[in-house]
Amino acid sequence: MTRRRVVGFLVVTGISALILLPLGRDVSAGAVDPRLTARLDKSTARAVQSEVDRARTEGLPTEPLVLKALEGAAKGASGRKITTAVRRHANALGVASRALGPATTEAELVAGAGAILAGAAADSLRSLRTARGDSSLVIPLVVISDLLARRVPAREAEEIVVGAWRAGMSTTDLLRLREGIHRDIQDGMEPSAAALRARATTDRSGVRTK
Amino acid sequence: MSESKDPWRRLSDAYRREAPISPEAKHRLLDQISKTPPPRRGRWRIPLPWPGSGLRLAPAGAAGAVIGAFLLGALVTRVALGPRLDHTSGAAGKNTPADSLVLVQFVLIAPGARSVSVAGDFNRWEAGDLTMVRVSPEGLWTVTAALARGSHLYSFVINGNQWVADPTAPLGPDDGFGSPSSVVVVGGPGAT
Repeated sequence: MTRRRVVGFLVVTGISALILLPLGRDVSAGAVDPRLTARLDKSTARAVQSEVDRARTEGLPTEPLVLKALEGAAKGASGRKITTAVRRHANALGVASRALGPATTEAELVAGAGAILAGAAADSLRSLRTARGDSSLVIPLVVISDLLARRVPAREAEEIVVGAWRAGMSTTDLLRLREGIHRDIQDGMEPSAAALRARATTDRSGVRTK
Repeated sequence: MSESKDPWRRLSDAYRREAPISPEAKHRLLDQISKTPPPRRGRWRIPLPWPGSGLRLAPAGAAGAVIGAFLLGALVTRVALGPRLDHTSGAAGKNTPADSLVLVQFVLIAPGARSVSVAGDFNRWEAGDLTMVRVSPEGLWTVTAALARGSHLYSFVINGNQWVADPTAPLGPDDGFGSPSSVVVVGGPGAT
């Protein structure tokens, strides 16, 4: 190898290093979303970022996880609580994704994760998908979450919504059904009794919920 | 005018005399000349700074060089181009097209509140970002926001520290932090 070639090799290597070093730095350091570093302490931001990275490798949406962490920060939660909540949310997204199948929109996935976190069974999500595969499941999933959050027993909440959905109830009527149950609970009725009453009403109107 | 006897004079006159040319050929020649574009002049070219180089740079070349240098710099430093580092895949992390936004009005009755705001995934849960306005002495607070289609989680923040759900909206799941959230579904019947 001539001296000229050695010098050329060194020059090319040096220039390449100058260009590639800044690019490689982010990869090696494990870049953390700047929104996380702006509002969380360093170790919490890193822990949340690792959950986000894991979700990405599983093909799950990552934005809801970042937003969950920001929600925790806004509400003054501890770093440990934030990381736990983000991990729980990521797991729920995974369960919802497997239950709803590959042709699921991100909005459905987020609503499905909400239903899972509220206590819905993965089978209910599967039943909703099977019942009307071509319709968006966002509203039925939001209604299930709401009923569960209002302490309607899981079995009843799922039967009402899945039954109404299977029977072809429109999303507008589903939201009305929810409002009726909510109103009855506010008026002092037991959540399970309010759910039974709603089911009886819809059955009388011709929409069989079971 | 009489012809000069001087032979040199006669010779020069002969050279100055117009050469015989047919009108048709003359017309073709003039036509050809009129169609020929004028030569490019270098008056808009920028001389390069080092003296004696004799090199000049066209404005387009100068602009190209500046843009090229900018692109190279941006590539190396990863700044100034495109969005900042963003691992997002959801609506809030994207540039939502204006025509997909829907105006949503939030309303809360809170007679004793000194301030009320709305925080949710649409504003990255920034508690002071979307401040509600008191519109009646009875304590009716309201604000309108443009939200992307889909479902959004949110809460009302009363007096800067009290997080409450919207009493008229569907409840969201347990947030993991001990305070309730609500859900708003924005858009058509299915809301994606």
